[in-house]
Amino acid sequence: MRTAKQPIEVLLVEDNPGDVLLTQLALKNTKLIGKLNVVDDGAEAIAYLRKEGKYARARTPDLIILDLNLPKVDGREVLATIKADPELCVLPVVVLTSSDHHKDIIECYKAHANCFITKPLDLDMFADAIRSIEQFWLSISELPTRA
Amino acid sequence: MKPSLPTSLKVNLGFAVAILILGIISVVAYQTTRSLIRASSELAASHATVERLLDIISDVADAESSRRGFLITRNEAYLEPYYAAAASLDTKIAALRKILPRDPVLDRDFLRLEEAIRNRMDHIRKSIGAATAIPEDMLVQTRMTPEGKRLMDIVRSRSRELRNEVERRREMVAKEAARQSAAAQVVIVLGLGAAVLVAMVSAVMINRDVNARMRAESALREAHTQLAARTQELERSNADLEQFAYVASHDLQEPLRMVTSYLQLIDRNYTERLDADGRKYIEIAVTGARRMQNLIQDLLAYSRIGASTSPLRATSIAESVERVLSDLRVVLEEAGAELDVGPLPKVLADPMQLEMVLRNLLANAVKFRSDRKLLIGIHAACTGSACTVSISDNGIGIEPQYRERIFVIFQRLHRAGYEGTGIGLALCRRIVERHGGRIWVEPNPEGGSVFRFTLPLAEAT
Repeated sequence: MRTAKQPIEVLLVEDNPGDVLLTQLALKNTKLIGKLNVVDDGAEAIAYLRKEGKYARARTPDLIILDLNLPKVDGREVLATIKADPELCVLPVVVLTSSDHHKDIIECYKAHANCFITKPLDLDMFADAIRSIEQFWLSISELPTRA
Repeated sequence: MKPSLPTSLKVNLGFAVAILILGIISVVAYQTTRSLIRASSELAASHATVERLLDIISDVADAESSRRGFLITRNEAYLEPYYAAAASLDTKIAALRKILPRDPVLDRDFLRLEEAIRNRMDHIRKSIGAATAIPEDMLVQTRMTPEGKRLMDIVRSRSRELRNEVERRREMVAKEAARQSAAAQVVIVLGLGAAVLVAMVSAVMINRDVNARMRAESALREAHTQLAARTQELERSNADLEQFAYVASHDLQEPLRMVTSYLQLIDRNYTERLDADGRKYIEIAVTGARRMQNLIQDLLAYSRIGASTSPLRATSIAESVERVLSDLRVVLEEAGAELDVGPLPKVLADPMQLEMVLRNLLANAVKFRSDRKLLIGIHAACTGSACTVSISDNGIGIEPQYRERIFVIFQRLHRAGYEGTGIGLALCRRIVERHGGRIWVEPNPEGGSVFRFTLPLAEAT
C-alpha cells in the first residue's frame, strides 16, 4: 500500500485526443492528481493494468476513468476484465462516455462499474464533471489503494 | 361471389325435400301394400268361394247318385251320401254365404242358386220318398227323372252364373291390384329419381358453397400470413431504424462536442487576440454547433418514441405536472408566469413520455408569451373512457392556417427570435398518437392558444 506521500495516479482510457486534452485542461490547476496516465485503446489499458510489456514499471492507478467506445478492445470488455480480476477489481472505475442510452447505463452498473457519467455537451459542464469526479473520488472517498 | 342463401338453409331445404319425397313414397308404398294385401285376400277368398261352390255342387251330385243307387239297389246304405249331403248342405250354404263379398249381383246369383239347390234336393227327397213308399212304382221314377234333370240343369247353370260372377270380380280385383302396383312402382321410381336429383343438386350447391367458403378461408389465412410477415418485417425495420438513429446521433454528437468545446476554448483563452469580428464569427459558429446538438438530441428522442417498449400504465397527470413544473421552476419564475391547475385524473400512459409532452407544451407557453402577464392554465375534461387535457396560455397565439403545420416536424413559424428545433410539437404528436389519442390547438378566446390532447383514462381500481 502506498503512503500518503506518493502522488495520486489516475489512468484515463480515452481514444479521442480532443477529450484527453479537455480533461487535462480541466485538471490543470488541481492539486489532487499527481499524474494523469493516458492510454488510447482497450488492449493498452489491460496491458497497463497488468504491467505487461512496456508497462512493466507502471504503477497501479488509484482511479480509472474509462470511455466505452474504444478501438481494439471495447471499454465494456475492459470493465469486465478489471472487475473479474481478483487484484484489479477493487479499483474504482468511473465510466465516462458520450452514450446516455439506458441499456449502456444498466449494463455498466451490472458489470460493477463504480459510476456512469455521460460526457456533458457543454464545455463548462464537462470541466465541472471532471473536477467533480476528482473531488468525489480523490478527496471525499477513501481509496482501496490508500487504505 | 356470395351464395344466395345461407348454406345451412340449403342443407335443411335439401334434406326437407328429400324427406318429403321419401315420405310420399312411403305412403304410396304403404297404401299399395295394404290394397295388395286386401286384393290378395279377396283373391284367396274368391278361390275358396269357388271351391266351396264346387263342393256344394258335388254334394248335390252325390245326392243324385245316391238316389239313383238307391233306386237301383233299393239298398238303404246307398242313401248315406244323400243324408250326409242333406245334413251338411245348410251349413255349407251358410258358410258360402259368409265368404261371399257383399254385392247385390252376387247376392242375387247366390239366392237363385240356393233356390235351385233347394228345389233339386227337394226333388231328390221326393223321389227317394216315393221310391221308399211305393217301391214297385217305376213309373213315378220315370216321370220324375226329366224334372230332376231339368232342376239339376238349373242348379248347374246358376252355379255357373255365380262362379262367373265371382271370377269376373276376381279378374277386376286382380286387374285393379296390378294397376295400383304399376302406378305405385312408377311413383316410387319417379320419387326415388326425384330424391336422387334433389340430393345431387343440393350436394352440388352445398359443395359450391363449401368450396367458396374454403377458398375464402384460405385467402384469409394467406392474408393473415402475409400480414404476420409484414408485421415482422416492420418490426425488424423499426428495430433497425432505432439502432441506426441511436448510432447516428451518438456518432454525430462526438465531433460536434469537439467543435463546440474547442470553439469555446478559443473564445475564452484567446479573446484578447481576436477583434470584434473574430469574436462574432466564433459566436455564430458556437451557436450553430449548439443548435445542431439540440437537433440531434430531439431527433433521437423522436425516433425513440415508436420503439419504446415501456408499457402504458396508470399514471397520475397531476404528479407528472408537478414534476415538470418543478423542472421548469426557474424558467417560469423568470417569465413571471401565473399558473391555474385544475383537478387532473389518472390516465393510461408512459409517465416519461407524458412528462415530455407536458414539458414541451409548457415550455412553449413560456417561450411564445406576449407582453401581457403570462397566464397558463392546465385543466382536464373527461368523458366516457377518455380524457382531454388542455394547456392554455395568453401568448402570441397561432394563426388558423398554421394550426396543423406546427405539428409537422421541423416546421417552424418564427425562425428568428424564438429558439427551438421545430421538433417539440411533432414529438408531442407522436407520443400522443402512440397512446391512441389526438392533439390539436385551438385559439384562446382571451388571446393566445389552447393546446388539447386526449388520453385514455386508467380503469378505476
